Amino acid sequence: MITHAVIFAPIGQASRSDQIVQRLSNAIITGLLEANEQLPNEADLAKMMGVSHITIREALNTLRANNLIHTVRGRNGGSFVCEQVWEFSNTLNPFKTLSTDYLSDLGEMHCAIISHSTRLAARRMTNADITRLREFVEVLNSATSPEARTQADMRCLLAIAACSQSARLANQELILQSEWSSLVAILFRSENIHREIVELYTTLINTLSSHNESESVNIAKKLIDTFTFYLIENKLKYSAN
Amino acid sequence: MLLTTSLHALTQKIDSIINSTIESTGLLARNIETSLAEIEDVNLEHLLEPSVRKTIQDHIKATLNSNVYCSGAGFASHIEGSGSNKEFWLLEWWYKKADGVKQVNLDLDQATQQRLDFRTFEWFKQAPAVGNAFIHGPYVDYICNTSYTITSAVPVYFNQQFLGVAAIDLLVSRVEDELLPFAADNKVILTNKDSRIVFSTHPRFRVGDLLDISVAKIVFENDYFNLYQAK
Repeated sequence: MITHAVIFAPIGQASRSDQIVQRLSNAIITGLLEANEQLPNEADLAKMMGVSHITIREALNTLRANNLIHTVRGRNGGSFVCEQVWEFSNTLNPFKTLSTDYLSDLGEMHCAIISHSTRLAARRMTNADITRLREFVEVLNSATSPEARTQADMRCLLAIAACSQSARLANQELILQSEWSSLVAILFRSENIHREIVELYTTLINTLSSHNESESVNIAKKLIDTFTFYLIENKLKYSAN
Repeated sequence: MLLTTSLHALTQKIDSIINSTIESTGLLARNIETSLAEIEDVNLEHLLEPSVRKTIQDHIKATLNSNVYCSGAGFASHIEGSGSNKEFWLLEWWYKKADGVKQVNLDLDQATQQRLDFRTFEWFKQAPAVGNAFIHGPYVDYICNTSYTITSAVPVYFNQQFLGVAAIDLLVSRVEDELLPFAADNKVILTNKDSRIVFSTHPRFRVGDLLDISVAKIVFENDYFNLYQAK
């Protein structure tokens, strides 16, 4: 019974702390979590991420050992993000641990979510939805820092997923973003990539506003594929150095 | 519009759900206003004090208890920083658990609330402009309950100043639960004013789709919804 084998497969409690370390490391290294920003306390993190206190403590210990966060004791204490010198923290570069097949697979999954979301959105978006998405793309267009661009890009993709009116698609997009955003934050350091992405979004809005389903899906696929192309290119460039 | 008896019962149920939702939201907004007015020497920062938060929470919990349809209720406030006052965010949100008894606080810290930036949420933006109840949705709420939701929102004022929004969530699945027994054998489609389908007894016309009104005949409408029959 293959279904039962999948359903009852071990959750891998031991790797949960690694997953948290990976996600927070990537967010810190890429600047999505800013230097000196205070992390939520252990209890809140456990609640937000749906894991036990012990798992959170373990993850925070690893982040501390990697000099990504520091902890201040006392009344105004807590865990704070350390200043990062990104170019030098090569051992922690997310591209070090991710293989090209992993990135390409992540891209395909993302493409599946976004292309069907776009198909539904092309049918289901009202004029007000189009206007809102246009505003989000304009924010992305005028953003100058990689972090601001990443946030704006995330908002655009989540908006498209939500415009599908499918709660499941929107949820999957949210889950993917927890991994995706830190990676694209590295891409958004490039002015050329930023420009290319904005152009694709602009075309996408135009096809969406004319409710052209098949053309919208094509552009959406191209958008995610462009991200995936540059992610793999970055991985190879990193490994060549 | 001449309604058959069975459709008449359905439209009454639609009205009753929407009216009770709007009434509860308005009551929550007024109760919060009244409680704030009773605090002496009130300063907006008082909103973050435990005793004031507790009062607001009690109003929210009372709303959840008294309204059978609603799945979540809350109060959202954003005050711009001025002079020595820091800008601050308040999202007090409670929801009923799936088993229908427990109430849980979303409980977000200031930093998370700031990053959420609920000023961009339609129900937060539109409610003050409308003045009374604003009904948003159906829409995918991936922030609070990750479900297909309708939100009713009413602005809260203090000293004629806009302070925030009281809001109530109604799950689309709950609306269906309530309406199905009244639909009988009728092939009906309920939409919001944007033609977005909220409820349908026709498998071709699905919740979330925009209804092509050329294929349906309108049989009833109120301020928020239209009811159609498939042609």
